[in-house]
Amino acid sequence: MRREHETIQPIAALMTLLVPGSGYLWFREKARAIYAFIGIAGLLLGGLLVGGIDVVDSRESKYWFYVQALNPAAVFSINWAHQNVYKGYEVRAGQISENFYRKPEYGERLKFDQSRGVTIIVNDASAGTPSPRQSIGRVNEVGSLFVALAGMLNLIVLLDVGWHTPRPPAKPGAKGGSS
Amino acid sequence: MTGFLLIASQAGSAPAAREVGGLWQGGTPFLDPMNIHAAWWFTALPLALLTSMAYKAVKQRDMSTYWHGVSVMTASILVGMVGFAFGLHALVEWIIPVLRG
Repeated sequence: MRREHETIQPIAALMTLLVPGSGYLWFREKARAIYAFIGIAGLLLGGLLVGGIDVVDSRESKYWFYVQALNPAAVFSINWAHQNVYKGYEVRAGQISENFYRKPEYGERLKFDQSRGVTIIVNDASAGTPSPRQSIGRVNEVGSLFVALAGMLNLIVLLDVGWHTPRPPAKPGAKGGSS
Repeated sequence: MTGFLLIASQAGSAPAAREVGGLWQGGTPFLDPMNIHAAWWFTALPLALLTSMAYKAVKQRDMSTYWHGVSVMTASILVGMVGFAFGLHALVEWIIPVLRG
């Protein structure tokens, strides 16, 4: 049942889907927008900082990804970069297979194979620096959790701005409190 | 050896080993994972703080008391997690062995 004064705000919802927290700017609630953005973006970047780009992976961690994708603009961009820039197909016996889809290890590098139209992993002894590593264990779990929490909090923000009820002004002398 | 990773070079016939240290083991922040496997639980603090910041940005009616609300929620999460961990520890390490006899 719709509450009194509640309105549907598609533009504010769209703003939130693009930039977390920005939907509050539609209602001129600048402080709320900034704090929501810092919280959600901080969790997202914190997850990447702790677990690396491997914490966002639509192929190998798809159930985490479903929750993380509640921050669609950022997470789909990160996932695209992860899948297309930092991973490649391993070629075995001249064939590529989904089973050999991974990150390059030390002494390997990615190369775009024009004949197949995909990025493959090739041996390259001169590849001087270690390639991005798989994150494992607690670090991966914590990183995935950070990004998933960012997604869930963005859903809360999305519901708040998308089906918006203006907050009544606080009464003077009243203790702040939550709504 | 803690905090370091030995990587064997595949170049040449005699593989050389080199040590790569630091939080990212010579990798790139935001791309490679941090080497905090022994201290991962420190991440509970920023996790609780940032979660509280985003949640209270939605729920706090009066933004003048925002930071008070964030502090209380952050402390509640941390105390709750520690309490839950202690309870589970007591159950597994003390209570179940007593019940088992």
